[in-house]
Amino acid sequence: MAYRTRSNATALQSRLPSRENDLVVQKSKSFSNVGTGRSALGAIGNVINKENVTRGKKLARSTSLKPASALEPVVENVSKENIPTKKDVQKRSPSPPIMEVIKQAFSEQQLANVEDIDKDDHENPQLVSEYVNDIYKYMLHLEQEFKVRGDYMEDQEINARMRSILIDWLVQVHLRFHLLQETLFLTVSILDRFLQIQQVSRSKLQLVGVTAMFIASKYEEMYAPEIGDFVYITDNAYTKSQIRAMECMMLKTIDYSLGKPLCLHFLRRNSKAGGVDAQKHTLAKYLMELTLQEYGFVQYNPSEIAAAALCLSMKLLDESSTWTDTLYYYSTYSEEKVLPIIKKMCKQLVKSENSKLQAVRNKYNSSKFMKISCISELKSSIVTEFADQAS
Amino acid sequence: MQKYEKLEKIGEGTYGTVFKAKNKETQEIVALKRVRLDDDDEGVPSSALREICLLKELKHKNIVRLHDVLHSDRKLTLVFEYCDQDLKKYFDSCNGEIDPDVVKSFMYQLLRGLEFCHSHNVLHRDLKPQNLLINKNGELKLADFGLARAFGIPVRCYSAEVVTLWYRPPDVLFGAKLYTTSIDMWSAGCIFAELANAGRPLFPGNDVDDQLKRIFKLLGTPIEDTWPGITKLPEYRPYPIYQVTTPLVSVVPKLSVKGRDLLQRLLVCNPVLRMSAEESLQHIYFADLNPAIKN
Repeated sequence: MAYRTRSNATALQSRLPSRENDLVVQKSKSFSNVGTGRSALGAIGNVINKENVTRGKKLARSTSLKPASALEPVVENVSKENIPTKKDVQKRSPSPPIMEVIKQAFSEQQLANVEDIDKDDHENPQLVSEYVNDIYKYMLHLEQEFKVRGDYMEDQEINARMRSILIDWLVQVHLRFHLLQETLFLTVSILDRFLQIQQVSRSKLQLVGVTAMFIASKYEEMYAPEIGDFVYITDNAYTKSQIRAMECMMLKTIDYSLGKPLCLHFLRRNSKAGGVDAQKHTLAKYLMELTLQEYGFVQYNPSEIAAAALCLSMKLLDESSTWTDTLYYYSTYSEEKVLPIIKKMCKQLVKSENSKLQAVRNKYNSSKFMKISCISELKSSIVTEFADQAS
Repeated sequence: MQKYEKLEKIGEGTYGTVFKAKNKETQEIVALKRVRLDDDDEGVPSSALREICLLKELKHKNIVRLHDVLHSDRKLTLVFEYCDQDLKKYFDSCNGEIDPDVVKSFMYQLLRGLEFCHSHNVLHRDLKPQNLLINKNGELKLADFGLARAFGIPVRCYSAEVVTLWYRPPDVLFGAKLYTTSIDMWSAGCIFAELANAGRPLFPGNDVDDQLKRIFKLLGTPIEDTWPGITKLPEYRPYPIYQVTTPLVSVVPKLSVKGRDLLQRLLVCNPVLRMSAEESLQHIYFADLNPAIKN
């Protein structure tokens, strides 16, 4: 049985589960963070009760700062014009920051069709409309800092196949621990950035993988699993002190850079820009997750993968949909630019059907994910044609 | 640890002891935060992990600079720029009197540091005078990011066990887990009042209940009309409807009219209506700020 004994721990390939239920599932353990309220779509749009908030807002602003106004007579010396209101300060889109990043890519008339996707969000603090464009500009800058080389495995003992098997297993562990989506993507990001610097033997690859998830959980989760849970999930293949030592080594190697943006972050922005429904968003998430285990995708920036995933999802679920100027603007990519990635994704889709590594596919075959991995659209001619063209 | 010579213990951070030390080669004075790893079975504490990661990215004159991280088997040492004192100690040394221009300068720097955090998707979540460092040049720097975290958009639920009681906003006191940048703006408001009063805390509550009462007695008890959704917060309890009897001018008598206006806009119970850092930097209170500080 996979991952049962320490003596097997050296032969990574032979121990790898071929089906999801091969994952060692022993006595049931409870984790305090069983995912509540992590619905697939979260709050992409303006889900807040607008009527109420607008009322509250009016109260506070138009009657000069109630309840604060009750504190003292209305401040008369301060002329109203001088006090900035949200409106004045709010950056209007198309806002300067992102424009700088992509200005070369756009012609004037293309920008004319870009809508301000944040304009109705001022009442919903969860959408942080005030800072959202600054934040995405910053994320686009950060991902450039943390690029992964597409050929880092050359001359290494480990290979792309081992990496795929490891990630397939990590997807199962992630599901079992009920962790956030961000944690999975961050785990793989940590893994690749470590492996591209540090040579790792085959026998230590699983230790690196599980430690990457240990680190990602601490960074991302409100209640991270304990170190003992990670020892347990490897069936005691490694000890706590081995994980702790690896943690230090990994953090040092990647210089504590855990803030690399994830394609998940960009997808949310793109889905909002495209005004897409839950199904398209979920399919895009599935496509992104399929790329995780494929070494051929490590060279791409998260923002590129996110744009390609949504673009392909839209094509598959609605042939009439187009990659609008708004999508171009907020994702910063044209359809043409991400087409090579889309083709690779299609190749991956085709490959996934007969692959032994089924964790992602099984996961997305649940009702929580709208059984998206088994919809008939994934067998359409678009997929096979693109797959054939993939480089 | 050969590189640095420890001089004296400065204090305790969220997760480690802080020492003043000297770089033996350069003679530079630094602050060392030492995290013992053998105390913790769980490896590097998540607070240290987050602080290091966030501070490596947040490079700003109003945010304490993390120079280096040193690893050894049993401990992790964070090397920070050294500041002479924190705002709490500054209060103790100023005998109940702070020049209004200094109040304005500190407040501006606090908000500017915060604006940088917020626009780089970081929430501090533990603003208080002890975590604001002051150096000889009158520069203020946000420090101790042990409770800070990066946020995504849309913001999701985070721990409600954040921010020291006196500086914790009413929404979080009622157990709100879905909060955003406004969490730090309430703390900034409390610190503003404390600055204006040369170190007298605005809401020194004994427990959550007392804290809320102190807030509502000053600002009036919020109701669904002024704060839609308040009654649905996880730990909401009804409070007596306090009428506002104390004008703000008697709470912060030394603060100018414009300053009181800014304070009013920060101390808003409903987080949706609380002023942001970006907006507050544009407030007229700062119109006559010394240009040397603005740049």
